[in-house]
Amino acid sequence: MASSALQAQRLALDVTAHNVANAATKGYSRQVVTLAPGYPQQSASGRGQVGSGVVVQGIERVRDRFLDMQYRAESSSLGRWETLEEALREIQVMFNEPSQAGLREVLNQLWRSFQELANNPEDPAVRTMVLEDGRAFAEAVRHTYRQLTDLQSNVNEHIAGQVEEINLLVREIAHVSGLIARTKVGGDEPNDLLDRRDLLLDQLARMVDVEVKEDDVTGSVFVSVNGVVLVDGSTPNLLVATPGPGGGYEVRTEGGNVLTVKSGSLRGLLELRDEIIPRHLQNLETWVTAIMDAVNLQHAAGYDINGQAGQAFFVTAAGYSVAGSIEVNPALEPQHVAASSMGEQGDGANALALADVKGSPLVNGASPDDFYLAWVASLGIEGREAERMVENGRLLTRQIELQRDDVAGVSLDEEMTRMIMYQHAYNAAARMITALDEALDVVINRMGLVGR
Amino acid sequence: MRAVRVTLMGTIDRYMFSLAKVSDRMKGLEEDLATGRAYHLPSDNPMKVARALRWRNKIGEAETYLRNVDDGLAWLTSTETALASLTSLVSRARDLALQGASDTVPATSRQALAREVAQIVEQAVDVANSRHANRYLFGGRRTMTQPFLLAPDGSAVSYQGENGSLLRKVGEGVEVAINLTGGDMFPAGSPFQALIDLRDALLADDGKAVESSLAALDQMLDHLITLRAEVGARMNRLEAVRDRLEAAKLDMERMLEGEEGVDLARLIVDFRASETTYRAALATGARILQPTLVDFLL
Repeated sequence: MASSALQAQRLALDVTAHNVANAATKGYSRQVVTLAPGYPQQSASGRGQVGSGVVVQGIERVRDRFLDMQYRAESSSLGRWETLEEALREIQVMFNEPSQAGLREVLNQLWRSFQELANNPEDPAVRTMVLEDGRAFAEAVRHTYRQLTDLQSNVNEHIAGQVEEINLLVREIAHVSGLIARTKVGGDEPNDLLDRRDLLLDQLARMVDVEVKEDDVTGSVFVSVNGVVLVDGSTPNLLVATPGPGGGYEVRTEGGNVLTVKSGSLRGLLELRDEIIPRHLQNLETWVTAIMDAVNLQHAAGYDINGQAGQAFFVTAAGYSVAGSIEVNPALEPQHVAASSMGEQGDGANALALADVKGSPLVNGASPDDFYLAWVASLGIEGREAERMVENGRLLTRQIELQRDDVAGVSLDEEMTRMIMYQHAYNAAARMITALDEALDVVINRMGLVGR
Repeated sequence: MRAVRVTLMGTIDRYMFSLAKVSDRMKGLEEDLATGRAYHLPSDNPMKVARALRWRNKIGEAETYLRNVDDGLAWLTSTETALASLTSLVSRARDLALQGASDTVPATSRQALAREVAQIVEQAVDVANSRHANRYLFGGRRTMTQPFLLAPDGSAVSYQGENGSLLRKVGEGVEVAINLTGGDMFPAGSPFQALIDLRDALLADDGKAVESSLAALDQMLDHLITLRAEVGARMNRLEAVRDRLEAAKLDMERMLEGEEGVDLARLIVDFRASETTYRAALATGARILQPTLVDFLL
């Protein structure tokens, strides 16, 4: 009886030690020993039942599964917004507003030099400046275009990378899930494996919106994403990223079914690549095309310094987007800039008309300036929404994490108190053995000595 | 309310979260202080940033208009100088005509007067061919060609220029012509005909003709005065535009400052306050993170 107590208290101390050891381990749930009185026996003296000591019923982890579900849902949403926020910040940096060095300022410089040309149409230096400022504008547009497309292809590579990460997690979850099922069959609770599995599921939830079903009896998990099963007990179903028609990766199962992702960082990446970046590329294209067409039209209406009709000011490469290939017509020499509206060298009326393109309603009824400002503002609003959602998501996941920690976290004070409790119980049990030992000593060694 | 379990991870996490929040705020204030701007990305405040950019564009436009105004004023000043020289040349010629018209003047004196008037004709043509920044003032839009040509035999001055206006844009939809053309200067007859007639009359020793050229000279003087008044009026107008643009620019700069500027004094106070908070958080951390029951068990 006393030895069962010694063993039980020893075990309880071991569990306490394990808890203390893992007080700072991520994903760890504290474990508690459930002790119960042993099955009672009829006393030898006939009346009354005597307990048979203590039995260890099990070692269980303390965990709230409902909080896990909540955490994963919020975590998916946070993963999506974090991805969007980071990329939107990057796009905003590309536009470099508000500053004196953005696309807007480069374009303003071109309008200013058209005005300068209107004032000094005969001056070769001013004509050269107009061409240089035109080149600077074209260069800035191409640069922005390249940055956006680079970001897009980075995001694409990232999608393939994330699919790999998901596969790694899926494999490990299936493996751990297998181990769990085997331990459960033996009737034990594989606490640390369960913690490990839950941590992996948390990581997976950051990337995709997973649905987790757990079989309480066998301990197996079924993980699916919008109907596509990723983990079926101990069987992993891997994903593949195959390049689609435009070179963009499509995420499919090995069986070829397209994976629908509604949340998580993978969703954020897909949204960036397929919606957000294309939208900004389209805006850039619309804006630049309108400016180029209007400038070219006006330039062709004027005359250069020799009285020849103006050529195209900007040209693009056939088969490429305007924003990706715009440049100042390489055939243009300073004397070819069409500043005059009637052929006289001193006339700058056409240069003035070129400068006026700035304010004319070219892009869906808005001036290039207004279109650009509205665009920057909408980019800002988009970025702000993402920032807010990330902030909210962080607060929410943190809140749930704290709640989870409230239940499952290790409190050192608590463990120390338990330690003392088990220690006392252990000491007392040991004292019991001494007491029994003394009793036996009387029976064995001293009985029958009376009168000897 | 159920008692909250105080766990190690929870305590650490709560502490680090508050610390990160304070230091984040400090970082933000530091950036504001370093750049002097309250916004660094459009998402910091999309509407204010868009408004600030609009003000920047408007200020840029005003600066361009101001440059155009200055350019126009410089051109008009040169024009005014040239017209002043012409006026004094013509009035000198008129004085000479008065002398030559007198019946008592001998033929030899008239010859001498004629030589001086011939000089005046050449000088007047030179002045009419004045340039501003390498461009002829009075040739219309044909600014690179000498507008007035004195025939080699001195018999006449021909006009090679044209009569278009040079425009300077000084506001939205406001364009001001800054030049006078040959046509403006000599609305009737060929250029400098009055001076040439005077010279020829003196050479011919024809007192009557000299006297009758006086009327033409007076008319030319009157016209020059009208032109100078016109140039003066245009300069006044440009100066008024400049004053208005400068005032507007100042206003717009104030608006821009209001949109994106920082209140330095408040920022520094905020920064000091957050610094104090940060120190307090660190000090609290030192106290709450340490004690557990472990410290009291022997």
